[in-house]
Amino acid sequence: MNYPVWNFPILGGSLVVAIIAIIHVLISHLAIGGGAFLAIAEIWSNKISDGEKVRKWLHKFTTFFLVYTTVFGAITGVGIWFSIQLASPEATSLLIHQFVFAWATEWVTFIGELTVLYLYYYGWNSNSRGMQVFLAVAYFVIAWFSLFIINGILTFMLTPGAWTLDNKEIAWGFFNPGYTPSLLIRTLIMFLLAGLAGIMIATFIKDDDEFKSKMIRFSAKWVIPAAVLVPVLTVWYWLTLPESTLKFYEAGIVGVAGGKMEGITRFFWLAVISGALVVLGTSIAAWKPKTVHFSTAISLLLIAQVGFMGAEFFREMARKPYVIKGVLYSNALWAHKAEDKAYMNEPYLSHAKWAPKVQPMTLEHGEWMFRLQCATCHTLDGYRSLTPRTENWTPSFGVRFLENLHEQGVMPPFQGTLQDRAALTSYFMHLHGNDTSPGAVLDTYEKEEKAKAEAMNASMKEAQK
Amino acid sequence: MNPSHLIAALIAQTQAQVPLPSPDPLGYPVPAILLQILSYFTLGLHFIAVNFTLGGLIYLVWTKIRKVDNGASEFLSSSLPLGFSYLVTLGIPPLLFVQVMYGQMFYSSSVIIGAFWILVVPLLILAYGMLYLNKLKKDTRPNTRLVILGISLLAMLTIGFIYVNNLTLSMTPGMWMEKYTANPAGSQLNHGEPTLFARYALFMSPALVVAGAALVLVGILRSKWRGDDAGVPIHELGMKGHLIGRVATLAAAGALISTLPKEFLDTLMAGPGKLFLIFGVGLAALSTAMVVVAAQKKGTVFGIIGIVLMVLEVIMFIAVRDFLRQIYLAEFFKFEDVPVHEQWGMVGIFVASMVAGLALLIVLTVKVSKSAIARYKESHAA
Amino acid sequence: MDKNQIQIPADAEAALPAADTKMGKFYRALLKRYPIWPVIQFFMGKKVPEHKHSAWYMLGGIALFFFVIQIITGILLMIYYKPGQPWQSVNRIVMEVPFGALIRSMHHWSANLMILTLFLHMFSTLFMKAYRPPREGTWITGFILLTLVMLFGFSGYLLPWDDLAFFAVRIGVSEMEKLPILGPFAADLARGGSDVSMETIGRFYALHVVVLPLLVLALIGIHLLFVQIQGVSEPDTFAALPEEKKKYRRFFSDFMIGEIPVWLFMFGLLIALSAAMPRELAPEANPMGAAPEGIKPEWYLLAPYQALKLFPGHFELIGMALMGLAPLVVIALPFLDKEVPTGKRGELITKMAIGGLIGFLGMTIWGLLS
Repeated sequence: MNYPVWNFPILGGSLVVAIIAIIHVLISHLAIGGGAFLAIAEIWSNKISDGEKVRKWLHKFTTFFLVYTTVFGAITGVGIWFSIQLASPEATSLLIHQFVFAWATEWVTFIGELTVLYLYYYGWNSNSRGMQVFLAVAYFVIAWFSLFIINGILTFMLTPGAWTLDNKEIAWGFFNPGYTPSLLIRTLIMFLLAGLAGIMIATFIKDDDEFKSKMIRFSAKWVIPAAVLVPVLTVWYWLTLPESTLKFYEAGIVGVAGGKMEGITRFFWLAVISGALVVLGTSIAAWKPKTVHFSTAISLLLIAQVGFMGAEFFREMARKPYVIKGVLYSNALWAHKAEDKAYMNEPYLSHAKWAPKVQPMTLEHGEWMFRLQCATCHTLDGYRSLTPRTENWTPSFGVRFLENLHEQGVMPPFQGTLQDRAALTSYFMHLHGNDTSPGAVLDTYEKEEKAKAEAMNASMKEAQK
Repeated sequence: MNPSHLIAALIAQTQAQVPLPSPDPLGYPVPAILLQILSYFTLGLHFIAVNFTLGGLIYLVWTKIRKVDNGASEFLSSSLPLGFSYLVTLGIPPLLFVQVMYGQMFYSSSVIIGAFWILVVPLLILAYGMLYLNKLKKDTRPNTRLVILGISLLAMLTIGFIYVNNLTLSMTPGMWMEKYTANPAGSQLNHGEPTLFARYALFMSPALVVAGAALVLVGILRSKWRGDDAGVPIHELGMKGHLIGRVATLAAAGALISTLPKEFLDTLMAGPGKLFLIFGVGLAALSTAMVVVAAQKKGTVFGIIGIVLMVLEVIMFIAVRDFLRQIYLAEFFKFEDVPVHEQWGMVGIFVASMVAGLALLIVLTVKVSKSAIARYKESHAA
Repeated sequence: MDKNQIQIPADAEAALPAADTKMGKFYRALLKRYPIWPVIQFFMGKKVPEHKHSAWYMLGGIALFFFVIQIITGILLMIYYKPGQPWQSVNRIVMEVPFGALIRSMHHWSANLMILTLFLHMFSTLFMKAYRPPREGTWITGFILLTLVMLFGFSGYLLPWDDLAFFAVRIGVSEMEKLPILGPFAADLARGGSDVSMETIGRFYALHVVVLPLLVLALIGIHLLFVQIQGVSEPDTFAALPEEKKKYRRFFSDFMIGEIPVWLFMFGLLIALSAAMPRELAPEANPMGAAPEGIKPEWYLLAPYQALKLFPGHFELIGMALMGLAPLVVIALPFLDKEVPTGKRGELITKMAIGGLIGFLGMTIWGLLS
C-alpha cells in the first residue's frame, strides 16, 4: 500500500479513467486511419479527372482532422495518463519504469506525426503534389508506429505472458500473446473510422449530389476490411484471453447477483453489436448516398463511439481483479505479497502508509479500511457503489463475506485481521443508519460462530452415538 | 549537520507521520544522471514552448484590447495553436522522466490535489480549442474574440498554477498526511507553501521574454521577405515586451529567493547549483543583448543566436531547480537508494528513432519552408 | 374477376424499373393484381422541408423505433413473465434466462428513451409552431399518445413486484385517490381493492400488454395518417422563402433511409445504457414492510409530483386542479394560437411555452435532487 487512494466522489478514479479513455480511443484510432485515408485520397486524386475537386474536399477533411485529433485526441491522450496516475499510481509507476523508453520512442512518433501533419496542412498551397503525397504517407507510417508501441503496453496489462516481476524481460512483456491480434484489429478499425469521418465530411458538400455520392462511396469502402476480417481476428484475440476472463464472460450470460456483477458480457456484446450496426449503417449509406445527411453520418460515428465504450470496458473488466494480470491487484496489492499469509493477516492499517492514526475498532477505523482498500474501484454512492451493495449486510454476513471476498473471482483478497473485517462491516452498516459498533459486530459474529461450532459438535456427537 | 536535516527533524516533530512510498520495485532503467540530462533538455524545450504560447497569447490579447493591427496579431493567431500543440507534446518526456525519477513523490502529491490535477485535462482542451476557434472563425466580433482569447489565457494561467502546486507539494512530504486525511478527494491546493506564489510568478513571467524574442525575429523576417518596413512595429513590440518580461522575471526571482528557507539556499549555493545559476544568469544577459542587437540591426542571425542562448539559459535554470528539489528531498530520498536495472537496448532504440526522426523532420521542414517562403515572397512582391 | 382488366397507370409505368428487369416484372405483376398505385402515390407525396432545423423532424420516427423495440422486448419478456408469480418470474428472467437481464434492461431503457423522445418531439413541435391549424388533430392525438405512453410506463413499473415498484405505485395511486368525486372510485378500480396487492398486478398486466398496446397502435395509425394527409409543417421562416429556394426531401424513402443510421445509433445507445446501467431488481415487495427511503416516481412524473408539494395540506386540491388544467391548456393550444405567420399573440404563447419548459425542467431537477 504505497500510495494514497484518490477518493473522488460519485465517479471514482476508475470511471474518470474510463470516460477519458473511451473518448480518446476513438479519436486516436481515427488519427492514424485518417493518415492512410489522406494518403490514398491524395494518390487517387492525382489519377482522376476531377482530382482538384477531391483535393479541395480533402482540405476540409484535413482541417477537421487536424483540429479534432490534436485538440481532443492529443489532450485526452495526456488525460488518460493524468487519470491513471490518480486512479492507480502503483500500476502507472510499474508501467512507466518498465516501458519508459518505449514511451519515449512513442513520443518521437508524436513529434513526428504532428510536424508532418502541419507541414502537410500549412504547406497545402505551396508544396508540390509529390511532396503532399509523401507527407501523407509519412504521416500514416509514423502514426501507425505509435500504435505499434502503445499496443504492446496495453496488451501487456491483460496478458503479460512470460514477463514476471523477477525477469523484467521487456520483450516478453511487450510482444505478449494478445499483441498481434490486438494490433491487427486496431489497424482495421482505424481504417473504418477514417471512412466514417470521410462520410461525415462529405455531407458538407452542398449542391453537388453526384460528387457527394462519389465521396461517400469512396469513404464507405474503408469499412470493408474491418467488416470482413475483424470477426475472424476477434476469435483469435478471444483465444489469447486468460481463462478467468472467459469464466467471467460465461457467468454474465445469466445475471450474477441480479445482473450487477458481470458487466463484461454485456460490454462484449455492446462492442459486437455496435460493429454490426456500423457495417449495416455504412452499407445503407453507400447504397443510397444521396440520402445521407449530417445526422446520418454523425450517428455512424456515435455507434462507433459506443462500440469503443463496450470494447474498453471489456478490456478493463477482463483483467479483474488485477490491474496487471497476475502481478498487481486493482487496489495496489502485489500478487506476490498476497501469497504471504503473515503479511495478509497483519492489522491492515499498521502497514498502510496513508492511514492516519485512528483508534482501532472505531467507525474511523472502518472508514479508512474502505478508503484505502476499496475506494480504488468503489465509491459509496456513485460508480460501483457500495452503499446499495451492502444494504442487507448483517454483522456475521459482512465479516464472512469479506473473508471469502477473493473466492468470488472478481475481488482481490481481503487484507487484514478479523478486527479489520468487523470495523469495515460496521462502517458499511453505519451507511444504512445502523450504528452497530465494530465491537458489537465482532461479538455477534463470534457468538454465531461459536453457536455454529457447538451445533456442529453436537451433531457430530449425535452421529458418533 | 546538514541544514536540510534540521528542517526535516522539525517537520518530523510536528508531523509524526510522513507516508513516503518506496521507490518502484523495477528501479531505474538507466543511471539517474542520464535521466536527469534527458529531463533537463526536454523540459527546457517544453518551457520554451509554454512561454512562447502563453506570452504570444498575452501579446495577442494586448493587441486586441489596444486595437493595434500591426501584423503581430495575424502571425500570433495562426501560430499559437501550433505552439500549443508543441508545448503539450514537448511536455510528455519531462513528465515521463519526472515519474521515473521522482514517481513516489510525484504520484503522491498528484493524488493529494487530485481533483485539481485532473482539471488540467479539460482546461487544456479549453485553452487549446479556443486558440483554434480564434484562428478558424474569421467573422467574429472583436468583443467575442476577446472573450475567446481571454478564456484561453485564463485556462493556461490556471494550468500553470496547478502545476506549481503539484510540484511544490511533491517536494514537501511533511505536508502530505495532514492534507490527504483532511481531503482524500483532492479538492485542495498546496496552500501554506511559502514559495508558491513567487515560484508561480517566476514560471509565468518569462512568457513575455520568450514570445517577445520570437516577435523580434518574426518582425525582422517579415520586413526582409517583403522588402519593406512592415515588420518594424512587430519587432518593436517584441523588444519592449522582452525587456519588461526580463524585469518581471528578475523581480519574481528575488521574491523566490526571499521566501526560500535560508538553509536550502545556502546548501544550494555550496554545491554545483551555484555554477549553473551563474551560467544561467550569464546566458540570460547574453541572450537579451543578442535580441537587442538583432532588433537594432535587423539581423536575423543575432535573433536566432539570442533564442538558442535562451534555450540554454532555461536548461541551466532547470538544473538549478532540480538541485533545489534534491535538497528539499534529501531527508527522504536519494537517487543512490534506487537500484538500476539497465535497459540499454531500449535506450538504443529510442536514440536511433530520435536521430532518424529528427533528421527526417529537419529535411522536410526545410524543404516545405523553402517553398512556403518563396510563395510568401511572390505574393507580397506585387 | 379477370386480373388482366387492371391497367397499370401511365405514371406508374414511368416510375417503375424497366419492364424487362426482375424487379420491374415483380412490381408490374403486383400492380396488376392489387391496384394500389394511388396509395403508393399518396405516400410518395410526403415531403420534408430542408432547413437547418430539419433534424427535429426525426424525433417522431425515433419514438416509433423505440416503440417497436418495446413490442419486441416486451414479447420476449412475456414469454417468461407470470402474473401469478411476478417477482419470482422476473427474478428468473434476470438470474437464469440467458441474456434475460439484458432484454429487461433494454425494455426499461427503451421505455425511458421513448418518453424522453416524445417530450422532445412535443417541445420541438411547440417551438416550430407545427400545432397550428389545420394540424389540431395531429397535436391532440400526439398529446394523448404521450399521456398513454406515460400510463404505459406507470403500469409496467408495477409488474416486477419489487419493493420499489410496489411503493412507487402505491403512492401514485393514493395521490389519484385524493381527487374529488371520481378519485376513490378510479383508485379502487385500478387497485382492485383498497390497497395495491396481487389483485392489482392482473389489472396492470392486462392494461400493459393488451389495452394500451391496442390503443396506442390505433392512435399512432391515426396520428401518422394525419401527418400523411396534411404533410409536414413548415416553419414560418421556411414558408416565407421564395418557391425556388425551398428545398424538400421526399420522406419515402430519402428522408427515411437517411434516418435509419440514426435508429441504429439509438439501438446502440440502448445497449450501451443497458450494459452500463442495468435495471436492477429490488427485493420482493413486502406490503407490511416500511417503504424504502427516498422513494420517488419515475423522472417523467417527477415534475407534477414535485409541483404538488408546493401545495401543502388542504391546498393540495387546488394544486391538483391547476395540474388538471395543464393538459387542457396543451390541448387548447391550436385553438388559442392560429396566426400564420406568427404575430404578437403567437410570440406571447412561445414565451409562455418557454416558461412552461423551464418550469417543467426546474421541477424535474428539483425532484431529482430532493
